[in-house]
Amino acid sequence: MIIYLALVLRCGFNKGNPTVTENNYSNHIHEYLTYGLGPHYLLKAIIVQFVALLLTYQFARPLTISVSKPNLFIAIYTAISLTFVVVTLLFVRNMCRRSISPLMHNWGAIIISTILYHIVAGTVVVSGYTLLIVAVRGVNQINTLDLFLSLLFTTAFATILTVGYHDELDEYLPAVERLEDTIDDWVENSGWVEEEDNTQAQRDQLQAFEDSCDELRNILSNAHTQAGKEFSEEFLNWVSSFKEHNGQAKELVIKGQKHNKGSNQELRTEHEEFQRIKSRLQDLSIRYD
Amino acid sequence: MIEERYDSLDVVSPHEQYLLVLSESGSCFGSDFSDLACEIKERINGDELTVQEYFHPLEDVTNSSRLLQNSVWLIHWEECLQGEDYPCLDSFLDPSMFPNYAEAIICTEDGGYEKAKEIEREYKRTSVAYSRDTLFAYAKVHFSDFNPTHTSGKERVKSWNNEICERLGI
Repeated sequence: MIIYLALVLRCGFNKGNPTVTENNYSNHIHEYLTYGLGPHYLLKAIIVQFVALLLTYQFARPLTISVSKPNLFIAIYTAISLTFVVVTLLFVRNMCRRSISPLMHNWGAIIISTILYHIVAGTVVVSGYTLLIVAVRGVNQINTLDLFLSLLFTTAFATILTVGYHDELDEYLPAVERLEDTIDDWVENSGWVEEEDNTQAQRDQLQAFEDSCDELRNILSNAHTQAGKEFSEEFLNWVSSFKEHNGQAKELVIKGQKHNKGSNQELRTEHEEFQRIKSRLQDLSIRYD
Repeated sequence: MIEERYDSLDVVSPHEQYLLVLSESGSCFGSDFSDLACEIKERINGDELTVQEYFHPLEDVTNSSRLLQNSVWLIHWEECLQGEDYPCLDSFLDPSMFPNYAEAIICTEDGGYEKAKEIEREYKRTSVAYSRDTLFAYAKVHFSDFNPTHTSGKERVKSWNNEICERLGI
């Protein structure tokens, strides 16, 4: 399963999503769990879980459950598990959106990340069962209800892990609203070229666009993922070239050149880069709500 | 668009300037204007002046405010002026209208030196290049004078920039 996921991740998720631009960014599989922050944060959360699991079993002996209406409990466990899955998915979605990674801002990445969190949580639960039940009483002592209870534990721990990691990540990555609003401002202000030529309104909006560039540059500098850092560097380089030009070249970089036969290669390259960056930023500001 | 006036010589450099290309085919003297522009840029002294070639579409040639923002105009004689398809260009090139310190270089591929002299008599405020070498020579002279690496060049750039701002109402 993990090998399959790794292959999928290497191939990229975006092929199935027509709104996301084609890209050549690289990515590490662990970033779907860590979002570019150190894995020690995740390890810390897992260790805390493991201790919690041991204590749970300690006070819940005998571990196998016997109830009068097992089907009812199975339905209850399943419903609660699904609730936990949804909560995990929502937190994972938020972390993916805040990761500033062009590779992680799509539903494919969100689902894979959610699955990985459940795999980690499932590993903890299975370890607990192996150590505390299978090793002591044998496999036959585990009934169907136990399996659904394990599912409940797994989804609950995945949620705890996700929420805990989201809390760790909070101080390192920008809020979703700030990221999306700044991108929206940047895209809107890039319309300065449509203002009447050589007017104060055009110069004011150009200034607003350059201010948006600075603001966005500050936000993107918070990227911790490999793809996020690469994108941040691309944006930084583009902004720095853009600001070195004067008005006419800036306009050509944003608008492109209209001549049928000739063009300035340098400005054409910068224009293509602008279009690519704009498209990726719009991908990053897509709201899934 | 030109962004601002230059209030002093200190703010003139570095300066980015444009090489306006008016041509239908985008080529002249057996080369693309892009390649000719690259060779012109290679001949510029110092690193205080950056030159960008700008290909203006001929269907929008009446947009004088856009043309004015370029200090060097490269005009393909046979494609733009010979057939008088763009009469507004004649008025833009009139000595009383053409901005100070700007340079219009008309490029003619047929007729050589004699033809060049004939065109120069018609368009008094222009230089006429009849080969790659004469084109490069005219451009080099212009960008030697119009170059903020030295004080007189800064004064020219400032004066040209502010004259254009004046004309554009900035």
